[in-house]
Amino acid sequence: MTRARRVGGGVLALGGIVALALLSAGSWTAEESDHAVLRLAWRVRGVRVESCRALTPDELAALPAHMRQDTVCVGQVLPYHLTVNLDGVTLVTDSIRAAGARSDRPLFVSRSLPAPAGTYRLQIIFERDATEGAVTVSSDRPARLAVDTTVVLERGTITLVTYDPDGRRLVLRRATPD
Amino acid sequence: MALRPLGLLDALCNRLYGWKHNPLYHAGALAVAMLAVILLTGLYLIFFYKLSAPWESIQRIEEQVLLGRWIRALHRYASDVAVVAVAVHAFRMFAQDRAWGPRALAWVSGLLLLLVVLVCGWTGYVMVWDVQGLVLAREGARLLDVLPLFSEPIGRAFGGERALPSAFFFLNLFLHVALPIGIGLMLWVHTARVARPVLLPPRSILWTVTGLLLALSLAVPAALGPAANPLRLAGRAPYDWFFSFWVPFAAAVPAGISWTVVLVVSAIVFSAPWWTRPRARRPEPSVVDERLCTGCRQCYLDCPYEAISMLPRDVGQNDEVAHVDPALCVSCGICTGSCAPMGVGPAGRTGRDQLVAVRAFVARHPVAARDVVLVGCARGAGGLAAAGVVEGAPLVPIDCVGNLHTSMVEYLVRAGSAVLIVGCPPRDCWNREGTKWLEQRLFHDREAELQPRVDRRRVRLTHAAHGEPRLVRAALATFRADLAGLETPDAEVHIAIDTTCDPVPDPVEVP
Repeated sequence: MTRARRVGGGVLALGGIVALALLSAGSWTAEESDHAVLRLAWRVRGVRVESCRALTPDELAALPAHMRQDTVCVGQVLPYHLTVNLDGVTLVTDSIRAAGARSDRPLFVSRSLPAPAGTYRLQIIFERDATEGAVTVSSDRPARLAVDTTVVLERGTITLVTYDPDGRRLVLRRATPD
Repeated sequence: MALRPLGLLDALCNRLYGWKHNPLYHAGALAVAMLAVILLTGLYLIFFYKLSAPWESIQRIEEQVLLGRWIRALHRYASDVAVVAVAVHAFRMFAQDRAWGPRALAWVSGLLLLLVVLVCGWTGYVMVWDVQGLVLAREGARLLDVLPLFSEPIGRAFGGERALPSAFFFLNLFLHVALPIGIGLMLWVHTARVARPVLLPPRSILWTVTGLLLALSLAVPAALGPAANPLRLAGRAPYDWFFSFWVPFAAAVPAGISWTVVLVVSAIVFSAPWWTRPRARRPEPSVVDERLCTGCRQCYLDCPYEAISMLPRDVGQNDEVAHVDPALCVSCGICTGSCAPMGVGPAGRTGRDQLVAVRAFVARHPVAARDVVLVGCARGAGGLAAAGVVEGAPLVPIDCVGNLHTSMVEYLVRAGSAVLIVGCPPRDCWNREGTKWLEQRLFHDREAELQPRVDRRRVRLTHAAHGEPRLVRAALATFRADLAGLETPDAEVHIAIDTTCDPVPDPVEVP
């Protein structure tokens, strides 16, 4: 093997190793950190309501014997309405439905709202939709959660609004200082 | 189309390192060797990993554990090389049209292996629980949450509502350790249809690559980003692009689109060998002429794909006969070259077919026009197989030099020609062992050997990859120069080639 080939081989190997190091320790900006984020994340067990009716004798007769029940009920977990205002500007107004194919799972709120760092008046209302004529199966769930406070959104941090099931209220959390 | 860039890269590496040390030829084995390095370094690191304080334990490994910083770096760099090596190996198999038919199992299992390696790497980066780990976990959870698998969105775990339980890190560690066991099992499946799988590269390559990675680990230890904090924006942080290449795309589009892209790309990659394979060529599997088979077992021993088995003969005979399983046969034709009595091979490519062709060739070319005859692999041989004539020497293309029956070489030499055989570099043989077995048949008396009466000085075997026509011309010039010092033999006119083995008589009814 000639000297030129040895040198060429060495250069190629070195180039490969340098490329490996660069790609292995590259850098990327997953999230810009020059602003703040208000994150809404909570889970609430909703209130299930059912509409029931009595089956007619014909309907009962059409069912197999082991499935005959006098009344049938169709239920759902009531949706909630979420409104978020920051300094009077409405950022979110949305209906939150229970998860699951039959909408019978808990309700999950998950939003990330970027905002410039600063001090804001934050208003959040998370309110259950009213439904008339339905039978409430369980009522020990919050009908309305609200926050109306002044919040300081710091650059590069996420201010989390979440649900405290013990206090049955929305609470704010933020990253601990380094 | 894919063969051209591969040929250029092969030619470059062959020129710089020689074909024996070309790392591109050993990419698959190199990936396995890197897995061994990952396993050994991982075993060391796991002793210092704490489920209750993952990032802090990694920081401790970096700062306090004996050699910890460098062993972690080696673990990581070896993982990166494994991904690259698997990708290069897969590209070679695809470009060389070696991924369908009986080889489909290896293609599919190989791609699944790559997928498992990537998932294993994903768990490894989540284990570290730095910013990159958090982003990987979050994006992975976002992708999984659109699937109807979990009763609650798992992405909630990384939103900062609650501290992440150590059970999560236990599950992640379990996967990181269990997946390599799966890799071992899949590797077994991957190599199940090949005989004598080569699982380690030559020592020169193994130690050079490991040494280079060790040097890199010492010079540039693996980066450890800031500790994951779900309530801080990730900002700019270190990322390993070999394992995190998908994250920028996944983060920029809805999860449904990510899954669509994953499914479409996977379908294309998995099925590529089938829709890109040549339509005109459907090679037939080998067949055995049982009347000629002497039961010597040589084809059974030489077959690189374990497609030949030895079965008891019919009633009345107490020896064995070769049997080809068409489902396993890739029609490489290596059995053709291994059968002295010319009783096995793909239709139209048996030793007897080669003799017919070489007789016609000799009849067409006067001795003066064929002082040297090139016999070249149709796929390698510098890409000159279709040229017909190279520097005045006629070129006889052959599907793979491993097919070449030594009787054909004998015929050409006795007809007054010298024979220069150009095979692919042995580690790049498209049929795995064609060049290796031919070299042993020509010069080391492997069964179906070139007869002693043939002047070995007039027979030469050289190697040239598809992108190396220069090597063929150089070898031809050298061969001609060497032949100039030899006396010119008389060309025989009536050449009788014996098959050395007596044919097995027809089965006799036993009362």
